[in-house]
Amino acid sequence: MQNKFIFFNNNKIYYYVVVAYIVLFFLVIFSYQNIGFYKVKLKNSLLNKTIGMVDSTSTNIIKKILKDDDNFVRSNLKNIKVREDNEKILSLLNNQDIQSLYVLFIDENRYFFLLDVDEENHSEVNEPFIPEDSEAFARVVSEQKKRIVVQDKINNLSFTLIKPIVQNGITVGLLVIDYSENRLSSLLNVSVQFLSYLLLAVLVLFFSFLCYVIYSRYSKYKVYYDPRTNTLNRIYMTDNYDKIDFKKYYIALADIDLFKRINNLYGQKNGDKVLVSVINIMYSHLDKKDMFIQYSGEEFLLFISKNSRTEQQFRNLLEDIRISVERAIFTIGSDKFSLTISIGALLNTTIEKSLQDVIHKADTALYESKHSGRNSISYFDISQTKKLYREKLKEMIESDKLVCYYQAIRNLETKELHHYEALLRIEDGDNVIFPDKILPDLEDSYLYTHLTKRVVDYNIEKLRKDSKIKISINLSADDLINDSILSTLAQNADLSNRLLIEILENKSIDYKKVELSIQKLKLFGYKICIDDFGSGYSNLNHLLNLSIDYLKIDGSIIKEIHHDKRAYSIVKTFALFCKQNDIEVIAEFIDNQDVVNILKTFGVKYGQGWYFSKAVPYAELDKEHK
Amino acid sequence: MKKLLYILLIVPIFVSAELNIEKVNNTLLHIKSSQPLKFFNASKHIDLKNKLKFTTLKNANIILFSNNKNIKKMTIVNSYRALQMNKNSIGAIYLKKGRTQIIFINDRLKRNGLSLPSSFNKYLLSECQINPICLLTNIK
Repeated sequence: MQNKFIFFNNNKIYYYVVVAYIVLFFLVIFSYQNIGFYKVKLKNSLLNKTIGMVDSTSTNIIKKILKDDDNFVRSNLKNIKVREDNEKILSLLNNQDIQSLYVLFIDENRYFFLLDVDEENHSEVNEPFIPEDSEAFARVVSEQKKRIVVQDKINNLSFTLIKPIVQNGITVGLLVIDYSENRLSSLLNVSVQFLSYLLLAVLVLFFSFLCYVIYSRYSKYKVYYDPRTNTLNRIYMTDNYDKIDFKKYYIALADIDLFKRINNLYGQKNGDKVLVSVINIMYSHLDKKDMFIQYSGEEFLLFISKNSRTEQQFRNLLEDIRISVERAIFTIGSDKFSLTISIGALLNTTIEKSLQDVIHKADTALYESKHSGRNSISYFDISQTKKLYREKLKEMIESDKLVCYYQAIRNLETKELHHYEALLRIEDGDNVIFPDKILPDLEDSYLYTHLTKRVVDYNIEKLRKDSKIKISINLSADDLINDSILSTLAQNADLSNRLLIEILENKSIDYKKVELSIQKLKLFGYKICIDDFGSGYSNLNHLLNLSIDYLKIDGSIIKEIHHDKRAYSIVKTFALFCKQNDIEVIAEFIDNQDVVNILKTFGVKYGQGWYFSKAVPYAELDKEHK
Repeated sequence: MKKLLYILLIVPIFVSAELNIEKVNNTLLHIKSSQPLKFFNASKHIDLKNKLKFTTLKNANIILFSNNKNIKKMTIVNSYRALQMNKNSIGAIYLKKGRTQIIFINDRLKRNGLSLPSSFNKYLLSECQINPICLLTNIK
């Protein structure tokens, strides 16, 4: 799978940087090892500059001590006065950097002291001298050219200047000047050390920089992975929109059918385990050139490389994936169950302008799969372009286009306003989208819960801003056992006297869990209403156990009571049942006075419908709420 | 003998931590003799390692770093001056201008049945060369 190396594959510059660093590393090592060579060169260069002045002076001194003597050595050996005078002349060369200054003469290739300016450790005339660096001395004698010897082995000496004293073409003696470890040496050492540290610093800095860059990129890269499932996530895709060459792939968007129930029934942790299992099944069908991205909770984007598969092979692959998931058995505790996936695919990506368009089309095809019964594969074709993209729907839900319209529920006798029912709408420009266009697409997906949360938050905000308004909101049985929604209601329990919960009852649920949730809500002070009464909760026993406050009779029955005997009987019976059990009845879809009159005779107290008012935006409500 | 030992201990000891010990050891090891040479180190401050055979003052053939003229044995002194003055000394080892000076007098080595290989010729001087007058006579 490409995923493992996608960081480096998509950031090839780091390969080059690493290579550059390795080259730099070896260059620095090479320089460091040869630093001795550079040290010598540097030292000689500095020495030449330092000695320059002494060199020219010493040449004059030598000329002076030689005088017109025929035999310089004999004269000095024989005559102590001559030696003393010459030593005085020599001492003119002396300075604080010079440790020793002396003249040697040569006899049978051996050296003996002739003159010595050192007063404390004055050498005796004729005293032999064996130099450490005898070869250098010998070369000065033979070549009659000065030499500078760097003293690495003699303590306290930095270097020695050896100059030949030549008389009648013969080297008769050597002027030797030993320089002590001084400022120059210190400077040399410091310079060399500085150079060493500089090289090291360059290496360390570059390495640190490299580590920092790679680490920060890798940290960001880790953001691209979903920690639960270890797959690339949507953030990666959003950040790399321009880098993904979608034209090289067939695209499929796969969604696990009814996955929300797994989380609701078994909790998020177990849900994640199931998710990972499904991902592994899908992974096993892909190869290295393909890409797999977790687009949302239970939605996955598959980029199938066109290099490795033909169109038919791609179709076969999707079918294989679908069948593999369908046949898999998942286990949580003692429960075994199976899942299915719906897939929407796009084959011709080469004509698309952007990845976003590609995903939208795959999403539309997925929508078709869902609507055709799930556990199927649909391929996008041009006829689907007008349908609502789920992706677009997601954007709308998350924007301020999601609003509620409010329809009044009134007392049938007094016409007094009891509360408003909040009804979901999406305002898309001049277009207002109704729930029946939205909810079927979202049912059993994570978006449904997300949408519910948005509606709850929207209405809580209205209740906070408007202290007079009283609202009912619609929640499904699944919403009631959703921790985040319950938590929101609990946190806003101070509004419970103005927020009525209408429970939609249209599929089988775990009664015990719903009962528990209702009990919790009632403890917080909320009033409960069963909406669309007539299906699902038809077990009256359960109705009693739920301890509801209101019951809203299904509007389709109410509409018929003034001309349908059966509808008339049903409503009458329900009204009587509710009256006997202290449950208030709300009749909806009231569209004429005859219906109102009949309902009054049944003892129905509240009504809702176009007879009273349509649902309108909050801004159009009477501010006094009368 | 004990008294001699005490005297020797009092004798000024040549202190030099900067002698090239390796050079010194190497030279002393190459002194050739008809019998094995045993040394006594009169200096506490110069550690010649254990490459040489060391023994007591009584049993030693060569006394190292002692300027005591009264010792009748072969000595290696620690100054040029002592070398000139002490006829029993066969050589001198000391520091001069920061350099380790190793000097043996060839005539004295021969007199004592000792020699050094030719590769150590740079350390050998003649009796004349340490005599200023003799040296002056030879200088042209």
